[in-house]
Amino acid sequence: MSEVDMAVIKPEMMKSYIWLQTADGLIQQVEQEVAMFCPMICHEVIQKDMGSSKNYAISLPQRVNPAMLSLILDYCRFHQVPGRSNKERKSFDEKFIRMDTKRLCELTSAADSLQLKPLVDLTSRALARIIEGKSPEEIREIFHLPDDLTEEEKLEPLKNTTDDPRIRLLNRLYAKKRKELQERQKLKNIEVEEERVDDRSVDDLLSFINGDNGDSKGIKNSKSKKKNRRRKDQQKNTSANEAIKNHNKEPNGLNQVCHSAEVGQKVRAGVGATSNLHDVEDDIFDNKNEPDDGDIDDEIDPALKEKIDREVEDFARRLNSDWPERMQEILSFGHERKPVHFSLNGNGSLRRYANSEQR
Amino acid sequence: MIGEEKVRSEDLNLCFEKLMMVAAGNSGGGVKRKGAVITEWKDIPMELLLRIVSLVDDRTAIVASGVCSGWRDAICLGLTHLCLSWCRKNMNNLVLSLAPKFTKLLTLVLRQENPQLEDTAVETIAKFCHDLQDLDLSKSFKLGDHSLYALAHGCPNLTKLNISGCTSFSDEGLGYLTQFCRKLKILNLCGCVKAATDCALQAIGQNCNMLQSLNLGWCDNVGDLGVMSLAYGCPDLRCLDLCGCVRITDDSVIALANGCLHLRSLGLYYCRNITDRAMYSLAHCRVKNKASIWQSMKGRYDEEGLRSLNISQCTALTPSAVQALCDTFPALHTCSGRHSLVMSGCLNLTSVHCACAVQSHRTLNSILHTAH
Repeated sequence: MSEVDMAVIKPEMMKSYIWLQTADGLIQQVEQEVAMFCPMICHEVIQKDMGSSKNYAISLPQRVNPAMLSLILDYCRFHQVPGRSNKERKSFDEKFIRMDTKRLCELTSAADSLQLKPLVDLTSRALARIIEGKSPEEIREIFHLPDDLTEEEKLEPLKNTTDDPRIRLLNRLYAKKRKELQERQKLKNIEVEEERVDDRSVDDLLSFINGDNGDSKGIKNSKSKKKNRRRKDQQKNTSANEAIKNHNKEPNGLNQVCHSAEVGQKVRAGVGATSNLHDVEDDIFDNKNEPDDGDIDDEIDPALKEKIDREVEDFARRLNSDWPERMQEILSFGHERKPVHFSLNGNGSLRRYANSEQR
Repeated sequence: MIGEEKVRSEDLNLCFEKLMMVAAGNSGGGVKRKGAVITEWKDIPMELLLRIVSLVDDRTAIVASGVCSGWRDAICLGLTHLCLSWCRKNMNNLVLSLAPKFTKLLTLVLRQENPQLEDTAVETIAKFCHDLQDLDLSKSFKLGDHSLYALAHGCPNLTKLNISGCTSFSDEGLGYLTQFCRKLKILNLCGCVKAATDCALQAIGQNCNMLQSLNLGWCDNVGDLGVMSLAYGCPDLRCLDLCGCVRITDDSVIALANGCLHLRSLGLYYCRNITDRAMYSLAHCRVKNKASIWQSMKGRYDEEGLRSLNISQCTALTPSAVQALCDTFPALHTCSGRHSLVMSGCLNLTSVHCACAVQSHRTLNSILHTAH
């Protein structure tokens, strides 16, 4: 039935409709006043005279799929009615926004492509609230983002944005992992003699970590390294273990080479390098070989420290599960890590222990 | 590992290119993409991501730049405003690691509660953030002239600079800076006793001709020579704070009255040497310029003139002079609602009133009279 017929039969029910076509080819008609709330559709209708019939349906941008379109039209349908109070609109918005993050992202994207500014503002604010206070790891989980930054890149912001002792310990763990990575890399290329490039970027990072807490990091490392040595004497030495042992024996020299090897491969240029942080680094390695004296422990009380240790171990286990098997093997030789209470969910373990005031 | 690194950098490039393509093609409407409809966050255009990042606090924005390569590229390309004042311990290191990433910064606030910044950080900023326009380094006690030299070479587009409380800067460094940062409009030197000398002010008057606002609070090395050079060299000056510049005499104010016709706010707190001569010169110049408005000064005449004047503790002033001033500048108020003529500590000036205060007084009186 054509529109004209409909008009003749039921004049009081005649409404204008706009025809819209989504990227997948689906065509639907929408009440004019609702559709015209979207600037992009409005533009198409007025300037290009589209949308008046099925053949001239307005092609919507690719970011608008049918599900999103229906959501957007719901929004438009509510808000285009002039008689609503601000309170009503606000409460509708709050309810409207309640959806899972993935749909929220799609909706933001779709609204943006239709230039529907109020909805873009609303969804952007909702997404901003979601991101606020989260760590990069958490953000990646929520939005399914690829984990494609090098460890160095990842570490930097986390390191300095907060003085949370938990984060500091995490960073230490990262640093430890990184060093092991470097050693393995070094072993792979043991014949390749890398030039001594400016390795300050990596040293910087270590110094960042240890800039305020030089001693405590050293102590923690010395603990684990000592136990490494003991264990290794009992077992067959893998080449990696040797490296670790050597690593302990000649901290400065080998690390320099390790660092430069690592840096030589990295794509990133120097990261705001400074030169006067070498002193701090020397302190770190000196501490490694000293016994655990003086509990210069970050001002963390024992109970909290224990809690943090547990978290760190959990996290360490989590990191471990990402590495290839050989790494696992090496690490199980080389570390004092107890068979920790593995949680089956495998992620978000940090959150379990999160204090209420943390985020 | 090497292979992975290579792949990562390729991904990086791809992601970056995708972003640029999207950003370029995203002028409202459909974005042509090869492949399916967007379902992943990483495909959201850069502008959207930046809009969302602009809604969160600075700490989260920094964290967000370390989430994935797409976000990092978007944020590093798009972040223009950053404030690190919430940092209590690691600000120096943070600046060292962030400045090379956020090269498009226009505004950077590094005001500290406890001094953390060192010259290396400022040097890094100057090395990477060449577009910087607004820099706040207040309370950076540890900074020295090296920072100023670095800024001079690295950030020539500075229009707003706040170095109040940076007591280690010298006037040589400041003078050097002004030679290169000629676009400065707002400069805060409050408390920079060593830096704000007549020498430096002469340099400012010579080089920073677009200067509109200058704060010389508590810089007691400032004398008439400096202020006169300033008045001569910076005709666009609108706000000048000379609180605590005890060596200033009437000559400075007269020079300002003649040279800075757009002057809106003047602070003379504790300038004990100021006498009626200064007040009359301000009023006189105003009247003189009003008369000659049809001349070349036409475009430069500021309708309301002085809006705010602080003459607290200027005990040498008499009521007649200040009243004449108040009458000449209608924007100066003593009434409680818009109190802009501040005369604390001048016990002999209590009779000075702005026009509206007198008006209300009269109205009140007339009501009272008719009632009887």
